[in-house]
Amino acid sequence: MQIITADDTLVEYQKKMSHNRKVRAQAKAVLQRAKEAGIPEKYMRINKESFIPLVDNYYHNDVNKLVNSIYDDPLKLLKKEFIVIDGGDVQQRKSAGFAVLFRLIACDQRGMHWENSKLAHQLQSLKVFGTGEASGRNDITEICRNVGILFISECSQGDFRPNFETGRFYDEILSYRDDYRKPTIISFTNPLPSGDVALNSENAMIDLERFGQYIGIISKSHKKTDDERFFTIRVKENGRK
Amino acid sequence: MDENEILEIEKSCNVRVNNESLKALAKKEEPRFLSILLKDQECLMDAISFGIKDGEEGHLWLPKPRFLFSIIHEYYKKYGKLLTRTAMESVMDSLSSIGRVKIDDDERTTARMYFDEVFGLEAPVSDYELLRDHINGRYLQWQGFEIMKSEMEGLVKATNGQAEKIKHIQNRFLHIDNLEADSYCLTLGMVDAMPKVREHITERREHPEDDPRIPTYISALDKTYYLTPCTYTVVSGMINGGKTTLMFNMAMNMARAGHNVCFVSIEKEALPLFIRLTALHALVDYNRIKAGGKGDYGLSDVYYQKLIEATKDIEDNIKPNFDCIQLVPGTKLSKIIAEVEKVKSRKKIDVLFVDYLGVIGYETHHQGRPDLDEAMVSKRLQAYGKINRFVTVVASQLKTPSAKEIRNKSKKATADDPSQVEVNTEDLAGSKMIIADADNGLSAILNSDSPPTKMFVYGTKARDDESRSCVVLDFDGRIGRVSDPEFDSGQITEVDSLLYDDQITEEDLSSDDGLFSSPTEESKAIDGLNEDDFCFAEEKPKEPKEIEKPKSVEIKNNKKEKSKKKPDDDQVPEELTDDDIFGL
Repeated sequence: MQIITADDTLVEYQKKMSHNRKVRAQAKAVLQRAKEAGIPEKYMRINKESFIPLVDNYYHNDVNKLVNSIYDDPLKLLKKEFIVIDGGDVQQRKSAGFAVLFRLIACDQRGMHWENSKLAHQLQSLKVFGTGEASGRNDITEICRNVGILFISECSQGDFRPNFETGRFYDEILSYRDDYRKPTIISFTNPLPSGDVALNSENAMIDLERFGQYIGIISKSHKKTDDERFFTIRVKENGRK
Repeated sequence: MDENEILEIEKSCNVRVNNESLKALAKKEEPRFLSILLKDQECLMDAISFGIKDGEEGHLWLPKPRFLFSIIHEYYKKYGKLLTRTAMESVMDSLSSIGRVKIDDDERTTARMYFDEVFGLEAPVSDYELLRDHINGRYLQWQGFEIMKSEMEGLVKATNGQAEKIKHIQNRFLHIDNLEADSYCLTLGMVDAMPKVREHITERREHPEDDPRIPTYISALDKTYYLTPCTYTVVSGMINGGKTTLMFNMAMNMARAGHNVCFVSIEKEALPLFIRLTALHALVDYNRIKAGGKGDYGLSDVYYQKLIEATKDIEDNIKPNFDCIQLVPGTKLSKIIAEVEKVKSRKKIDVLFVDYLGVIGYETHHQGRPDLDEAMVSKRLQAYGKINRFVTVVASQLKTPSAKEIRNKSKKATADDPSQVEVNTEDLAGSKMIIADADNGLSAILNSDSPPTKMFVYGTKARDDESRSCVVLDFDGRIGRVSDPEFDSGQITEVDSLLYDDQITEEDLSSDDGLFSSPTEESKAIDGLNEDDFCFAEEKPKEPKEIEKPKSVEIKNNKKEKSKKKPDDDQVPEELTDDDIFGL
């Protein structure tokens, strides 16, 4: 914000006032967009200081670096295709997911949050839900494909019923978003294994027919190190130091 | 019957104005003018397109030139060629009478002789424009004199209905033929054009600062749109979609830069428009003026002072360049033009804004096709702008189904990816001829933020290959300001500092109060001490706040309570004056 003083000429005042008004209008618009994205009030505006305690400091060697990369260099984060969150408990994962979603919306983006159970349920149902914009599963797929930032929270194996087409719809959404480099935040209820362990881990969602190819790739691609496409955040359980 | 009798169809027409020197001038100039028309086809074409009329109610004063011009004119209309001696003979031989007078061979001979006499005159083509203007001048003088002659007595003797009589006379004067000669019409051959082209190119190279266009001073728009004199621009948008705001900002910027702007407002009154203009110039929320009073939601001292300062700045620096004409919806274009003419009679107009096409009354009636009537209005307005070399900008609505679709698309658009926004020519309401004839078509769409923060301006129609591109502008609906984007899309550190500051609530962001300084460490330390935001930075006390600023704390608490209530100036306590707050 630029400081307006009593001695400012009309031109100086106009310049500063215009600047200040624009900053505030933009901030207000971000809050509005965050609400529209479905970020609950309690998870809104989580700042750097509140984010640090969420991160698993045993898993991430340099927590500050990770948090700084989210808060100070969000444009780099915007270039990642998948931001994967796991570990901790539901509150911690949600806090981290919504914090990242808010951080990216604050970069003049639009976002959307879906509980995985609800999304999976709607995508595996032929029902028409209401008469709104997203009334059927094809409409939901279309919306999820196009939105700037998509946050799918609490992804678990139980949400995907065998012999349904959910995995294919997920593939349709995630493949499009991957192709057009639209960031997707996905949080998993179970900690994901990394590297080759994935194939043998019970937490990996590698049944391609059931979960789709993309969920399979994401769930077994958990990497600690910087990756071109993936950004991983492991949160710690509430109360753990 | 002498030769004059043959050629005079209506004798009374010869006595136009009782002015012998004028008649002598006509006697001298009219044959010379005709002599040029017999020899130079381009001049003949120009005379016809200029509107030089034949016949007894026409331009020429004397009967013989009038007669010869009738033949020249008719012959050109029929064959598209200059009248030759042989053609003249054939025409005369084929005529058995002129008007009600039968003609014989002697009279034919006299006419031929007159042709020879005129043809033999020494009249350089370079005199053509001078002679044409003199002839047109006498024609106008005669028409004006005729009106005065016929209306003078009625006006002198009138004992009631004077206003109607004056309006009637005014109307007759407005309909004087060829008063506004068609200066736009021009035939330019390639050989004549090339030296001018060379000159123009050299001039542009040597003096790029002499740009004929009138910029909007919104650089993102100026890159795409060239608003040069004679161009016609249609600004389209949804209902309440920022058309007027965009036009108003363009008008204000142009006036501020010294161009003469005439803003025709058919929906809104002129005075509120000027109040808005002042609010825009002072960057003060227009609603504060509406609310009034000196309270938090009204005009505190600082806002009042800025508004007064802005009015003086406008008065001193912009005033002569901005005229606003207020008219009721349904006003016909002739009336609008008459009003613009009044402004034009006082000063040159560079830019004409008309807000908006749909509310102009129709003067034609196409059964069941009001769109064609609107297209006719647009066409006339465009022609008027071209003839007068105005930059003409008009507003037009979008079709309802298109508006709905575009609104949905704009929800997905962001500042760094506005590609979803697309407004094509077929999305405009009314006849497609409006946008087809226009030089530029801009479509203003607001983003889906609440309140909107960005305006997408889509190039529905633009010069060369610049159309179909989208420009993103900053939009502030509360002061009605459209401006170039100040921040790059992406991370804005200053926005982040507001978003991650727990002390700043969403309500604080909506209010104008915190605009005067950033929250300082001191103010943060005092729980909810937002009234500090009011203090000018230089005057903000650096000393410990709990000792030095008891009043501020009190004010803050008051404000917090008040903010939950409906704005009511009566509730503002005495100590809440801006003198206290600003220390002014």
